[in-house]
Parts: sequence; structure tokens; C-alpha cells
Amino acid sequence: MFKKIAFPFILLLLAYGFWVSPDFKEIAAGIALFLFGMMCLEEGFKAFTGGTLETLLRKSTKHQWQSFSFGMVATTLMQSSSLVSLITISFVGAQMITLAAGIGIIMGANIGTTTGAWLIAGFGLKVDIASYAMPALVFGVIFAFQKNKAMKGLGYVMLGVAFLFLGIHYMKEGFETFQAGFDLAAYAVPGLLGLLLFTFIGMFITTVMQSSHATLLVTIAALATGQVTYENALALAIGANLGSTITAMLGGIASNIWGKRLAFAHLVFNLVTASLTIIFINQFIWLVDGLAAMVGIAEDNYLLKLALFHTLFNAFGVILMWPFVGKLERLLIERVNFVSTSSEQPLYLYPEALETPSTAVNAVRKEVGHLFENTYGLLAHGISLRRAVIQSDDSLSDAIKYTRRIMPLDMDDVYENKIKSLQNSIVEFIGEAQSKELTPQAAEELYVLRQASRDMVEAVKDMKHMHKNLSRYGLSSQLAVRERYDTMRLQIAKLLRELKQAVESEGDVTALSLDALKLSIEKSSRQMMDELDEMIRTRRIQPNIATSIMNDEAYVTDLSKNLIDAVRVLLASPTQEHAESDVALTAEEIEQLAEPTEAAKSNV
Amino acid sequence: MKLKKMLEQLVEFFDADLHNQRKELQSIQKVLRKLKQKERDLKAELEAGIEDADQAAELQDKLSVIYAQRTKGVDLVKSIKKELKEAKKA
Repeated sequence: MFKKIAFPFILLLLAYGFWVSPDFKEIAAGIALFLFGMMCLEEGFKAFTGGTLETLLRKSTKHQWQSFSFGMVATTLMQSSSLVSLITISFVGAQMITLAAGIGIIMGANIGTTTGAWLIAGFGLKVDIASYAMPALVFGVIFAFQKNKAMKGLGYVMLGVAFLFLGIHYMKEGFETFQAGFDLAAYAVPGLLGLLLFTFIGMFITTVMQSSHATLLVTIAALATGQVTYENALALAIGANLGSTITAMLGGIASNIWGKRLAFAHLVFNLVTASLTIIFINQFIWLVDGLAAMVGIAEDNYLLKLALFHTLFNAFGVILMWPFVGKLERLLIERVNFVSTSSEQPLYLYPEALETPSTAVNAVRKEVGHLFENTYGLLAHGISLRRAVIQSDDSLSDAIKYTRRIMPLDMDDVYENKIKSLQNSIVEFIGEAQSKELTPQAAEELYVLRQASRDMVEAVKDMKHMHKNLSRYGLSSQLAVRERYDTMRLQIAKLLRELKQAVESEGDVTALSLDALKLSIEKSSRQMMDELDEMIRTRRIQPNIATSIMNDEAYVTDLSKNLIDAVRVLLASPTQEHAESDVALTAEEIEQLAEPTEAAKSNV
Repeated sequence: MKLKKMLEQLVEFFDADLHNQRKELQSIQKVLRKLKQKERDLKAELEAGIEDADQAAELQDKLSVIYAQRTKGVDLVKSIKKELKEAKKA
């Protein structure tokens, strides 16, 4: 809701700013070019991921100093701590590197990001940077148009550098002319209030622009033209550091528990660093002045002093936190445990059920039944039919024919929270049961039940694949296409109805009755393929849609078979399981039954 | 005759393999009886007349499946009985 209001509001504000002040237009364009340059740089470096970067990351993180060095060098080269943070979060999330290694990289990234301030302050504002941008732009475009992935990547890197330089140029120009008409320095706020206010402003600007580099650029450009005081600029730099953790937090939200832990580590590190810097700000200023004199930076060269301050306070944070990385890792593992409130929890897997093999098997059987309920619900939603319709005696053909909309479904979310979470619990419980003494029969039953849960998950994955095209073509204006998808939906609906009835019949229906369902699926599949062949021959359907339908039909068949196999396990009678499985038809026998008879062939 | 039968049953009791085979045979025969009943019910439903062609085709398919399952079961019963006979001779 907030985003819906904020976005047009920001656009209106910008439009008003452009109308009122041409200098503001130039500054904003400079920022836009700078951000675009960063996007191009990220795009360029991504071309080298999927191989080089990952191999390097894995090899470079055995020791803490190695992780730190990697973070520092990677961020210096890519000029984006956000990209390094996000890659690190995904690696920690996949547990390809440890959390401690990830923390080391983040610390290195924080130092690496300070090189940006040096580049801009020491070089960017002193030379005619736009003249360096032009050749980079031309060569960048030429390389970007190449088909080779590495050359394309290099092209984007060059374009990124070019746009960065152009952005700096326009911002510098913008602030210089802005200064003539408006003196922001008149609004400088001294003391602790100013420190906190400008820290917050720096954080806000970084959050909006999603780039601490861009905030530093604005700060340095504003400082160069005297639009902000030196003390307020220091506060903006602290705020920029804090704001960069927001990107990491957003990346962590999308990741698993390990990614979330690293995002938290990033937040803790930056928060501690920023807090201590604010508390000891005067001491820092004194240290910067002293060091600046030692390295030959002029007393009134506030740009380079700002860059030095930026490096110093980040280095201070690293030195402070370095000995505690191990402890931080342990604390995060202990304390950061997110359990999604929307995750389905098991209903029957209590520790007491592990007391005897038969109670353990019974608990797992019931839980697999619970998993079936969730699978059934998801599949019903996937074919855009309500459960009540499937479970009633209403005509399924009519329900499908009169469907007006394909129900939106976040398959990934439901799969993770309603299906995978339960499967995880079932597998974990079976693992615990297997560690105790089990009878051979109980062990066999648990194995079969685990397989059944796996079959249900496979069925859901088939629906996940199929649903993409169902959303696209399910209500197609082309009748031929709509009919094919209606047939698939009907097949699944009928299957769900039969299986639900079978599971709820309490022993009246045996597992053998499922063979008739398998025969029905086999026949439907053959009929669909025959019809599709006919439609392709007579050009009633485009080949690209025909192949989509073919693939989706395969998913439907696979889904049906997986679901039937899973329900067969639920229906199996403990006393007659072996006899029923001996008499049940094999896949080959079902295919033979599905072959049209001689009489049927002669009728055709 | 009674003594012979009693001895045969004693042998089966102490021979685990024979015992298991007998149990398997009895289980399959029980399943076959259920299938036969189901086949009769479906045939009766079909003979009573069904207007919907699709429903009739579905019933026919179910009958085909049950027939195939019964055929398979009967063949299994025959082979188990043959093995039991050979085991007794031995």
C-alpha cells in the first residue's frame, strides 16, 4: 500500500523539482546516470558469475583474512558492496561457504566500498571526467553488442564506468550552478542534533537510491560546492553505511535462514560501527586531521578528509569486530531462527509416537494422509476449481467449461509452506524412528510411506510446471487451445474426485481400484496426442502452442501417476498389501489394455 | 485318511516356507473373491442401462481392469498350488 502511494508521489515531487529548478534537473540526471552506470557494472560482472566468481569465492574463504581480502578486492573492482553482499548471502544461504566466511566478506566489502569515495574525491571532481567517459562509452557499446558472453560482460563494465563518470560530471556541474542560486549550507545543523539528523538523511537517501556510492557522490559533490558543512558531510557518510544494510536485509528476506543470519550480521556490524563513530565523532575528527597531515592532505581539503574519515570508521569497525566473528556466528545460529508462521506444521508426529514401531508407523501414515490433504488442495487450486466443487456431485465438465478466471497461485510459496515443510517433518521423523529398533515390517512400511510423500511432492512439482502455461492459455480465445487445457483440467479434477472418495471410503475401496484410474489416464493421454497430431496436420494450432500442450500433457500424466502411487500406499491394507500388489497391473499391462481392440479399430 | 491329512498339516506348520506360501495363497484367494464380487456388481450396473456414453465406457474400462487382475490372480494361484504340490511330494 505504502509503495503504491510513495511511488507516484516521488515521481510528482521529481517532476515539480525539474519544473522549478533546471539545476536540480542536472543533479538528478547525474544521479540517474550514476545509478545506471552501477546497474551496467553489475550486469557486466554477472557475466563472469556462474563459474569464475563462484570458484574464486569458494577458494578464497578458507580463512577469515582470505574472506576479508576477497570482499575488499571484489567490492573495489565492482564498486558495488550491494552486489558482493547479495552474492555472499546467496552463497551462505546455499551453505557453500560458512556464515563466518560470509561475515568476513561483508567486512571486506565495507572497506572496499570506501575506495569509491577516494576515486570520486581524489580524481572524479578534479579532472574533466566526461572526456574519459566518451571513449569508454563507445568501446562499451561495441563490446556489448558481441555475442560472446565474456566480451558482452566487458562491454557492460565499460559502459558502467562511462555512465559513472558522466553521472559524476553532471552532478558536479549541477551543484556548481545550484550553489549560485541557493545556499544549502545556511541550513546546516550543528552539534549532536545535526549529526543524528544528517545520519538519518544519509540513510534515507541510500535506501531510496539503493546505493551508498551514489549517496557518497552526492555528499562529496555537495561538500565540494559548499552546500553542506564538513561535519554534516561526515554524518551523511555514516548514514550511507547504515543505509547499505537495507539492501542486504532485503536480500536476506528472500533467502533462507542462513541468508537471513548473514543479513543480520551485516546489520549488527554496521549498526555497532555507526553507533560508536557517532559517540566518538570528535575523536574521529581529531584522528582524521592528524592522519591527513601525516599523508600530506591539505587542512582545507575536505573532500579527501571525508574519504579518509569514511575509510577510518569502517576500518575501526573491522578491527573492533574481527576477534568476535566466531562468537557472532555462534550467537546468530543460536538466536536467529525464523519459523514462517504460514508454514504447515505436522499434526501427528509427536515424540511419544516413537515409543513403539507400530505407533511410529501409524503416526507417519496419518501425517502422509495430512500431506495428501494439502496436495489435494493445492492441485484443486492449480486447476482453478474449488474443493467444494470437486467433492460434490456437480458436473466437473460444466464447472471447467464455465470457468471465468484462472485462480492466481503463488506456487513457490504454497509449495514451500504447505508441502515441503510437511515433507521435511515426515522425513525427519522417519529418520528418528529408524535410529530406534524397528521390526523389518515397520522399516519397510516407513520406507514405502516416505516414497509416498515423495510421490506427492513430485505431483506438486508437475503442477508447478504446468500451471505457467495453464495461466497463459487456460482461457485462450482460440477454442482448440482452450479445449485442450480444459481436457487436462478435467482429467485432474476427475482424478482428484476419485482419489478423495477412495481415501475417505474407509476400507471399502482397495488399492486395486486405482488400476482403473491408471487405465483411464493412459487412454486420455493417447487420445489427446492423437487429437493434437490431427490439429497440427490440419494447422488448427500453431506448433509452439502444440509443443506447450504436449509438454503439459506429459506433466499431467506424470502428476496423475505420482498421485495414484501415493494414494495406493495410503489405501493399502496391512493384512492384504502383498496379495494386492501381486495382483495389481504393471505399467505394461495397463498399456496393453489401453491399446484399441480389433473391433474398435475396424469401426474406425 | 484323517491321519494323512493331520500329518500334512503338521508338516506345513513346522515348515515356514510352506506356511508362508499357504498364507499367500489364502490372501490372493480372498482378494480374488472380492474382485469377483466387484465384477458382478459392475456387470449388473452396466446391464441396468446407463444413458451417459462416457460413464458406460468408464464402467467398461473398470470391468476390463478387474478381468485382467482376476486373470493375473488366478494364474498366480495356479503357480503357487503347483509349487505346494511339488514341495509336498519332496
